[in-house]
Amino acid sequence: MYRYDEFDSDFVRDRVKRFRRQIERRISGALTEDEFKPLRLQNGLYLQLHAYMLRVAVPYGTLNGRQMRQLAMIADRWDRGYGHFTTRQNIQFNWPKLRDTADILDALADVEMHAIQTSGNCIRNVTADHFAGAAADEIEDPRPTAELLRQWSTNHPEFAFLPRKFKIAVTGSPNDRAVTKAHDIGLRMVRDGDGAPGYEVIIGGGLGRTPMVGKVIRPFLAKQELLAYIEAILRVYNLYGRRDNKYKARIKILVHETGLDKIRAEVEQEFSTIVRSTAGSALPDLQEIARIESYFAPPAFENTDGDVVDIVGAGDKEFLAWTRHNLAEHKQPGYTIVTVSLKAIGAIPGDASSDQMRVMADLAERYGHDEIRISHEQNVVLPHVRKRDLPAIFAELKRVDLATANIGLISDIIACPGMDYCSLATARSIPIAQDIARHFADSTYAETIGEMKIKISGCINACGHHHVAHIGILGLDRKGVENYQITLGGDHTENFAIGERAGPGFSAEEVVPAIERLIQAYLELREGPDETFLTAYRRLGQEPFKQALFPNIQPARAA
Amino acid sequence: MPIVTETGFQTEPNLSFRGVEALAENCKNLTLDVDPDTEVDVLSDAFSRIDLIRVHFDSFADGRGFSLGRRLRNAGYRGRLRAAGHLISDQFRYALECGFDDVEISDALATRQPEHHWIADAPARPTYREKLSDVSARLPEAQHAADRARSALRPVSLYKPLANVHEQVVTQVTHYTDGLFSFRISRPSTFRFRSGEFVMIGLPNAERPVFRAYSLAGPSWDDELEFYSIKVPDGPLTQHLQRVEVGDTVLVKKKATGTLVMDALLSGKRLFLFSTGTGIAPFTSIIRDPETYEKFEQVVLTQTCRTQAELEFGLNVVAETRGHELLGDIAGPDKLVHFTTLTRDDHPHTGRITTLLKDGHLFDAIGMAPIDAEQDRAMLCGSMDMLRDTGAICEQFGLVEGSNSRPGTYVVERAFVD
Ligand SMILES: Cc1cc2nc3c(=O)[nH]c(=O)nc-3n(C[C@H](O)[C@H](O)[C@H](O)COP(=O)(O)OP(=O)(O)OC[C@H]3O[C@@H](n4cnc5c(N)ncnc54)[C@H](O)[C@@H]3O)c2cc1C
Ligand code: SF4
Repeated sequence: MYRYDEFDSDFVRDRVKRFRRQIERRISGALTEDEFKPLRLQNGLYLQLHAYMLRVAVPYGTLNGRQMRQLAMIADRWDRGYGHFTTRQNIQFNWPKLRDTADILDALADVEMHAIQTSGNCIRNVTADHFAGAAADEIEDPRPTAELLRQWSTNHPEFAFLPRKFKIAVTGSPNDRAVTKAHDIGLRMVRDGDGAPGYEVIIGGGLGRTPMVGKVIRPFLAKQELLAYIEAILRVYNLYGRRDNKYKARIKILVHETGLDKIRAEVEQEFSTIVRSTAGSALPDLQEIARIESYFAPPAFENTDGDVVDIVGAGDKEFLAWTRHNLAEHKQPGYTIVTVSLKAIGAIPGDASSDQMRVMADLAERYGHDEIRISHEQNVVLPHVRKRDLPAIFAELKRVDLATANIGLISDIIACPGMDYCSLATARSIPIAQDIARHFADSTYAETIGEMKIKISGCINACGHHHVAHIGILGLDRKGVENYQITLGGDHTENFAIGERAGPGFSAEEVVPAIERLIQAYLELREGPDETFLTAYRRLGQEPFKQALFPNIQPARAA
Repeated sequence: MPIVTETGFQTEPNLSFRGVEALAENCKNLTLDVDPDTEVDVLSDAFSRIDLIRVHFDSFADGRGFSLGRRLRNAGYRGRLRAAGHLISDQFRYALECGFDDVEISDALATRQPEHHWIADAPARPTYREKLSDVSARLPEAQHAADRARSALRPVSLYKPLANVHEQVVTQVTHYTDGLFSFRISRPSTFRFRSGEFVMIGLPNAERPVFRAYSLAGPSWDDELEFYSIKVPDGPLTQHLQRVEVGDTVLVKKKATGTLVMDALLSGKRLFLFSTGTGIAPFTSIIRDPETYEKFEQVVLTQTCRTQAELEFGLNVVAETRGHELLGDIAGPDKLVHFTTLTRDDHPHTGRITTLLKDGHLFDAIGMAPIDAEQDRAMLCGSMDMLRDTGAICEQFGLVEGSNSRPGTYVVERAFVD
């Protein structure tokens, strides 16, 4: 894992000092509210419905035990004893007081953490595959790239006042767990014909009110050219992105309105200027890259073997269910990747109490090479675990209600904060998630249904990623009444697809019955237990599912 | 209207600014006002006729001006660059980093955000991008020209502490010829380097001092830093550097780097260090590092100069190493072989190292078998010509060039840029 050195810690301290001064200058009137706002946002501080919210960066979702424990301390001391993990692989505290925020930032700095650029119209916290460095299907570890980008983009002088926020995601595996096609820039690590490492560069993807699929701007970019190329894209965006309408300001709109070919020509020209000019110093120092890479060397794995069943026998049913759903294949024999579900039935998706955080910290230190990941699906990952330690880990997780065996199942729901916290919300999303999870609480039923991704957003901004859900739910406001629109067939993986809207919306009470009807239809229509909802939907199209959703409406007949 | 510079608020006689249409008239010393949506090609043909470009920022939240500044600099604009309009003090360092020289603000803003707010925002520490950038990849000549042009434009003001630079004190100076000297300076406690690396050094004699690459001639364990230097009569740095005395200040950038390091070589039995002129400097570091003798059974250092006097520094270091209480045992004459050759004066061995390698004279003289790619490794430091020719010979012996990210069987570093 990246070891922060003196440089990083000085930087973070300096930044906290600056922010303290900025708060003082806001209070003295040297900064107007308008001027203070972007500075506050770039230090992670939002104004929400009830209070400020502090969004803490977890660079590419990677944490160690000490850091997790400090988050628990912050939750206890300055918040209400819990934190909320988000779809951006970050953690949010929902109740800090403005005057405490600089102290919180100092406490974060004690463990080399910060809230820099987690918000505002700048390059946001870079995200990456949460199984990086562990997954059996990985071609190359995306974290050194994400770290390089983190360093390069931190306090970038030119790109702190962009037309709009800017998000970059990196994946090193053909199975895209980083949703690269829904980011302003998505990077897929690939190799050219000679085996040299590089990237496929995707731009202009995004969800929000105008969902768009990212497009390939450069099929192959040599590794060392990355920073210069990203700089070129950002410069073109910064100069030409729309600033007249905040809903049209993301790069996806620029790409859409200008056309990919024209944007590509602009970017390539800018890129060659950068490489030619003395600012060729923008290219990274190979030695520095090598240094960063060396930090991500795999931990010292033990040569162990054996499968879960060999270890425990077929005894404990609950444990076996958990091993069926919450494990992913590790590249090292004898090891596995554990996903800890933050989706206990009826709980708030993504919330973790300080006690739970401490237990996860302990487990990572004791059994997991001191590594923890936050997934964009709002769960916590222990990436390097020996299979034979699983029973002990399971027992410990169960003690604090973290052993729910539902990863990838219908109750593993993503939900944005919605009306309960977010000032932009037009509807509640957490209570809807809780209702659905409770309805499908029976684990046999959930297992029968199989893989299912439900995602809920509380407004059109789509923080809950509902566009890429198998069943997406978008909460709107229709004349003062919450109304939930359903989309079907979205997919966030390498087979990226944006879900299609299925007719008019439902009231809050009608959502669960509607989902139940959909599920029943699927179970009847599928070719067998191996055909997932998504595959069945792709095979059959929307019509039969629409009929299930709206049984009283006659299907359109061919005239 | 105050002008904010790195040293504080300044006032300026009223200049008259004109729009880009003034470019059509063939006048010189232009002072232009431009909007952030201006295309650089409109201006680039006329750069030499422009003294000052003032980029207008409508709102501090509109960052286009920063990109325009960077574009102008990348396109080769070396005149004064000013940001004007609504910028806040928290953006001052951003403006400087994007190539602006100063910022013009309204009187009202100057009252609300007085001078010390702006000064406090000036870069206090190196940025991530400075840390990531590859010093050896910059084009030294272009950098040169830029430095000269900029210092000519600026009123000569004294050096102000720079964020990414250590200020160190000279502790010893030794002159060998009228073209060569060495000096030692104190070492910052946080300064780390690997034996064989180089660092940028300069003198505190200008607001933007000239920095040049210098090999760290001492080993990494030394608690001072040592350098071995040329004196170029009108060299921007060395015309001044050659006059340093004990107690003077020398500036050292915080980051050392380089390829003449153990990490860039695969393991082997014999290590050949080929140098000409001041190119011996990285090797006087390496031969004084015990790690070298852990990695290699034998080390052969060759140095080619014109005259006997130019060999003195190297001979002294080797003698000192052999006499050193700890190194003496591990770097005896059987372990560390020093072979010198001259191209002008008379000497036991004369001629270029390339010739002596090709005709086998070197191996006869030191009584060793020729280079065997299986077990021998080499490092090269000298002029471009020397590197090209000696590099070609190394390749003939079957050696393959390495780097930090991909270690090989030989590595090179330029001793200077021609
Ligand atoms: C990686 C690297 C390491 C270096 N290490 C050293 C070192 O340890 N000691 C050192 O003296 N210089 C070293 N140099 C050269 C150094 O950076 C400067 O070029 C030198 O100090 C002269 O600086 P200047 O500004 O006075 O003149 P410059 O304008 O830099 O040079 C003027 C001209 O003098 C000639 N010249 C410059 N340096 C040398 C030299 N060392 N030997 C022969 N001719 C030269 C070149 O033809 C050059 O064009 C190194 C250069 C590089 C790239
Ligand atoms: S989707 Fe809307 S309601 Fe939900 S968090 Fe985002 S902005 Fe808030």
